[in-house]
Amino acid sequence: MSDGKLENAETVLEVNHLAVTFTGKETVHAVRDFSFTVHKGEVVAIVGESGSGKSVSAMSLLGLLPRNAVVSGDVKLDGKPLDVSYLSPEIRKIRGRQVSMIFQDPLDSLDPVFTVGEQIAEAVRVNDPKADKATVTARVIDLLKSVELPEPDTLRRKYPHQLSGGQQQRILIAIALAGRPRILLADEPTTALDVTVQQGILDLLHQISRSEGVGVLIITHDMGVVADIADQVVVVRNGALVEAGETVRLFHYPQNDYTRELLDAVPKTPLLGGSLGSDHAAAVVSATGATSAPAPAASDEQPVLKVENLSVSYAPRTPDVVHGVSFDINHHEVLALVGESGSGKSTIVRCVLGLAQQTGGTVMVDGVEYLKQRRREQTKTRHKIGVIFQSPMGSLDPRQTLAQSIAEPLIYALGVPRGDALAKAEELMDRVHLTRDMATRYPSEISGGQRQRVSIARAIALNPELLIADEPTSALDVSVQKDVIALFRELQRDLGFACLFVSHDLPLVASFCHKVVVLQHGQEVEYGPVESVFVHPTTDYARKLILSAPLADPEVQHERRRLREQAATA
Amino acid sequence: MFRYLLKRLMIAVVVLFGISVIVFAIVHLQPGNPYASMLDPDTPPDVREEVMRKLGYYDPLPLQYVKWLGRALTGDFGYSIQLGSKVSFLIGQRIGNTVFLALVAAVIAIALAVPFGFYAAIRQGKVSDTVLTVVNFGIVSIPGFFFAMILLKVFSIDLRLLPSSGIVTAGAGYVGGQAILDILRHMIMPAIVLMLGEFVSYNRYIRSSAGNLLSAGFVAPLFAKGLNRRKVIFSHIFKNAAKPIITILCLQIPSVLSGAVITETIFSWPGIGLLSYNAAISRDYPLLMGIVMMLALVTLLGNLLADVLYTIVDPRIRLSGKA
Repeated sequence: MSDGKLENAETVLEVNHLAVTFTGKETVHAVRDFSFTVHKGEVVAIVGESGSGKSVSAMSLLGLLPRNAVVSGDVKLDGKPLDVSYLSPEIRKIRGRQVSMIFQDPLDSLDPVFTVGEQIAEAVRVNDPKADKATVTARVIDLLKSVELPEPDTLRRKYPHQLSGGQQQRILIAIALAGRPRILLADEPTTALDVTVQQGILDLLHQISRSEGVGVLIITHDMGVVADIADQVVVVRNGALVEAGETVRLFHYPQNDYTRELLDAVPKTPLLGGSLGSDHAAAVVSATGATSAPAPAASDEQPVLKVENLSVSYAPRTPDVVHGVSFDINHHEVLALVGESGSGKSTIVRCVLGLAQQTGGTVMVDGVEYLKQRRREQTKTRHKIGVIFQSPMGSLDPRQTLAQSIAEPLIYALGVPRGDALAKAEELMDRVHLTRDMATRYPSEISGGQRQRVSIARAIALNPELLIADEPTSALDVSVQKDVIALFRELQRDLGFACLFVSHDLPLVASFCHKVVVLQHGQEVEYGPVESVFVHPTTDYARKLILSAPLADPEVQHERRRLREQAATA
Repeated sequence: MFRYLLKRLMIAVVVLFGISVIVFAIVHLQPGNPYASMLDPDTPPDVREEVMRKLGYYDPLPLQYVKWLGRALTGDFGYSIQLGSKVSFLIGQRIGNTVFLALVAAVIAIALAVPFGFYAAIRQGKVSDTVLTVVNFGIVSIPGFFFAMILLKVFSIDLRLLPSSGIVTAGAGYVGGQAILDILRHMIMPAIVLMLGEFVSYNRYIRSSAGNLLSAGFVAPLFAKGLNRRKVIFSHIFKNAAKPIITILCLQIPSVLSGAVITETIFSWPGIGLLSYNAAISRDYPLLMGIVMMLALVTLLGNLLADVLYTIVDPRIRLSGKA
């Protein structure tokens, strides 16, 4: 795709000085001064961290914000000015016709009690109220075909919950396309989906923009997605435009410090750099010496966690969901469990913690099968394990101060007197770079990143030999994630715990972990050192999974797309 | 779906059994001898002992329970101690009155609560919603018995418009249309008292259910695809609201049959409420057990009916068999 072609393309949407203010008890300026342009057949990405106002901007264009939102700005749709104030009749007329939108959580966005066909038909009828039943049905089937769903005639009779996440999102895209819109707003359209599914949706959006000439405005926090699909990037921070430009240019020569920060925060790894051939990556590995953290030398000492042939089910007398998984983790080592949702990552973690039904195999911590120990000994072994969960808010008691939360394991596991434990908690707060004056604050008073630091401090309070981290950074913004991972590295270097790290973020895994287990449907597909698994995956599934993780590198992503398209047409 | 219903049915049977054990135990572990009042105070002690033995009063409690259960399974709940008639006959005699009164009250309450609840949900936070909320709290704050007495004072004593008690005017001998009119006149006040109490709770329930639906994730996408407000509310929100409405309708079933103890007592309405009140204060065990078991059965049937209806309105339950 050449840039020249796009410059000549007509402008579909032009937004100048958009501002959104929420009035009420507190006035919040969610968007202050935001401007961007979308051309026909172009994909524009709005990038920013949570709270930057990126979603609010999109919602304001369709008048979907609550009553207390005051929207102002100069918006032109197809060259005609558009009144974006609350309940403007113009906005109601363009909804679903000229401008349509898809949302983050596809299941949540569909009405559960109507079939997907009925929901698409409704959108068709909005645009063509006089259409007879046969015409509508034919159009529904056409739309289902255009979003590449199989067996449209069967599928349209299904209810949302009967479809997979990817299929649901395709249904929403079909609904959005029903009115042949000029602009498609996509608010984090792949965030709730698995990477392997994400690529399909991104490809579809890309193809729609090209073949139907729809301007796609995609809102995302994921630089990989931006690199993959966007022609133009608009960076927004605190509701104001930071920088805008053509994607490749912006990735290589960011003009603004904040843009640079965002790009730097993306985990970098040479391992995933290659396109389909991994020779390039292999060369990088041999030249640079693999991952950033040196893998610990193999030794004779027994692994901290040894999992052998493990099978797990959710409850007694239910079928196994994890089948014969084996791996081990030594001191100083980080092992990642990767796979799509439902692959059994978290179930394995739950089993290692004794929270799921182990149906076969062994779990050894420090050489003992602790789950089969008596209660008292088991508790002792448990003290060697620290855990960090995905949602820091959900794992902290809202009624405890930060220091109390951190001190709790000391008090209950080691019987440290309360005063001493609280003092020790402050030391732990130093370790995770929280200032001591925060000790008396409550979880609701601090940011997500700080909360996760508190969880980390609590997890290392007993100086664990094994640290289990279940998606510890996926609820965080990239820049925060970067700091938390840096902290993780530092603590691991100092304390030397073995770490079981669950993640779906492959670039992060590649940059941070030593070993990796790839899971699919509860089966261990691949297991080995990160370098060898990521550079020379031996199974198709692992290769597919690795390639589906979009890298924050437009050239790599463009090359991958070209190869995919080539493969599809061949 | 069939398995889901079968599972529900089995759970219902187990629960019913559990209820019978607990209620039987609570009733029979009370101190004192309820049968004593059956006999003339002058009955000689040996005759008295003989009667008690025959009645099974000295049997161990588990045996009493098994005997009772065996008869109950055939629909025989024994004889009322106080009234001497069969329990099933007594219940059958009263239940019609109760159902009639409660059904009228419930139908009016729901007919009012659904539109008002929806209206309040749509206008949430606005003046009209606030007014409805205040009215609701006003009604809730007045105890039913107090309100009933005010009605009695105004309409029966001062204005002499409505009869104060019973279901028919004794000795009037009305026939045909006049008889029906007479019953309706007796029913107005108890029905209003019952209806208002129910209206408030349904109204709040529907307001919050509809409110949740209005902020559900699928609503913004409906607007985004170009539907207007009317279409979103009347086709999507309504269809989704079927489930909460079914819930309250079915929860209503047991209270329709149990009768309102206080309201029936105040207005001397010859229903189950009045019957169970009398059974409780006079320790009429067989009658009390019979009424409680009937209510338990009806409650479980109501829940079961709700489960069946859920499978009709919610494809997620119908097609996956999970609740």
